[in-house]
Amino acid sequence: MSYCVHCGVKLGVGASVCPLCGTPVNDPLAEKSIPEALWPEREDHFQKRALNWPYLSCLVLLGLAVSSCAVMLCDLITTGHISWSWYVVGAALSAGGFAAIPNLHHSWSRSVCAYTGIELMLLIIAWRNDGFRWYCFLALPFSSIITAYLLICLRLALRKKLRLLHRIALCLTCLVLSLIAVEALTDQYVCNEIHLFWSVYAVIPLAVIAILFMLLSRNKHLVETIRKNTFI
Amino acid sequence: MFRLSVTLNDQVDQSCLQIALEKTIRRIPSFQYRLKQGVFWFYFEKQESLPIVQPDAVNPLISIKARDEGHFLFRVRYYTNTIALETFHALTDGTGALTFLLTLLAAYLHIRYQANIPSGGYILPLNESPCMDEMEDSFLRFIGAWGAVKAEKPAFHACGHLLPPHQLYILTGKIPVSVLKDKCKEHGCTLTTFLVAVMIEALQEQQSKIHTKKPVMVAVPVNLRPFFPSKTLRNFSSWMNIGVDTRMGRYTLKELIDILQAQMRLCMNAKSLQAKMSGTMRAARHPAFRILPSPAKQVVLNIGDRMLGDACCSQSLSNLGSITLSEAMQSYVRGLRFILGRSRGKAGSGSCISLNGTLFLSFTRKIREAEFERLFFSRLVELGVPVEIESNYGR
Repeated sequence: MSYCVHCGVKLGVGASVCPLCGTPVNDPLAEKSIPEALWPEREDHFQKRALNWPYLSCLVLLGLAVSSCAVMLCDLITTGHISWSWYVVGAALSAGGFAAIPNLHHSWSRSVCAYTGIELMLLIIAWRNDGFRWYCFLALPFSSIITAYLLICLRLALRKKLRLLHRIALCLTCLVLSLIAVEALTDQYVCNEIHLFWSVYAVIPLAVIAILFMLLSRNKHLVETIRKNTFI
Repeated sequence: MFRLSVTLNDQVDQSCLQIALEKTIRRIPSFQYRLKQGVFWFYFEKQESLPIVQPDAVNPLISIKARDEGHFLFRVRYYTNTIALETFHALTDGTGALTFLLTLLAAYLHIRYQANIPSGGYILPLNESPCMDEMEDSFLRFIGAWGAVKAEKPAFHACGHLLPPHQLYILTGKIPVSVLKDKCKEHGCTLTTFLVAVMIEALQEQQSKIHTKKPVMVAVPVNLRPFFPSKTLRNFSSWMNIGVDTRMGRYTLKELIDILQAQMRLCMNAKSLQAKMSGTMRAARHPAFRILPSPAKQVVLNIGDRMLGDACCSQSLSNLGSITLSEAMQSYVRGLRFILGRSRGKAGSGSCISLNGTLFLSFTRKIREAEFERLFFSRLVELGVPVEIESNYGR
């Protein structure tokens, strides 16, 4: 049996450090025999439920294909030609773009798949309403900006090397740029000139928060204190 | 969640333990229930399947995933010479769990060694059929005419680096009861008061380093059975928050003991306990709360717990008291330990139980730093109380 020279407590047989203060035990007379372990070495872990996502994805895609065909058939029977059901097909294509993601292995192919689904839906809407100008100058750039923003956020979320606060600040900066781009696009399409107005109200607080996060991420002591007090 | 474990002199035999568990659960059927979510309330539903004993792990009290545990709200675990019971507080309290564990142990010893352990105290006779009084909800029986939930101020909380969600650091101090009793006699107080006073001293020391002046409070669970004639094995416990306001300065051990004793006398009587119990029950029976669907009730209860639960206490100390085993059982048993699971709001919790003249005082924590435990046990040593420390992880 040894005692901790720092805390004064008696330590268990074979203890190499004091469990209270971490002071190493240096007892030349300590028993050499291996003590009986009080606790097993095995550690329990939270078991995550493993869903078969690729299989689920196939099921959803099949469901979307069957329902689209059924809707088109109904449309054909009731109206004699395919009209409104194109919108349903467009929605199914858009949903299918996301549903197919678990079956794709590269992040770029997943993004392209989801993006293509949305674009196809918008293209069908534009085709059915003779709105190709609307599609080319508003819907296409708008959806591209949103997709690009989401992709950047996803990339940043997965980039664990960067500090969390840094990543949040970068996401907010991208959001600022996206909002400016969206308003500029809308103004250009509607009035043929760019007057930034509403985006300024959103951009200023977001930029301030981004700068604050950036500054906070540099102050390691403050971050550590917040983490320790909030158990994050 | 909490855990009670018994350490035997001999290795545990898994098959004998399984048979003993099956016999015990037939005698104490209140453990054979699962929790189901209804539209408005959660409710217990009896199930026919039987639980299976599991090997123990270094990180006990990991949340029970009902589906993985056969929908049981408890588990019985074993490791070399240890038998442990881990259970949800919704199912039972310390007294109920101790009854289950010691009855299971008596059954195990009978199967394994043909030992005849006399029933009585915490050991129920296995040949008798379960009685309805053991399964009643005593809160409903003893609800009073008036009650109120007292609002309390947020208390000081220790800070530290959070451990991964599946880990729990346990430090157990083995203390000779005779030395502790002498100290209590010297200060003219009970064992729980003395330990809480030393805990508050340690918390005061910890608080002085981070310059906050929030009250230092310790939650002390209270077994309601000595105050109300109940035989239930289901949960029938309350709690009280006792402590000091450190804005008025630092308190000495003597001052702390005087204050805590006065606070305990105020809280530990049938009328105060009934008012507290009735206040909680009446809040649950309020028409506005009753019409809420169960997921919304859960949200309201979570907010209530965050505001009135752990937020109002810095630490907790649950004392199950001194356990006396019959001579026939004593020769097989080496130790008894009682530990509490991870707290939601506070960094850790304390619990103790004594057997054969040794107090097993355990602190569990969800943070890496053992500052509070170090201050507490060092202070005990300073006061002349010898402490032997053991832990589940190296440090």
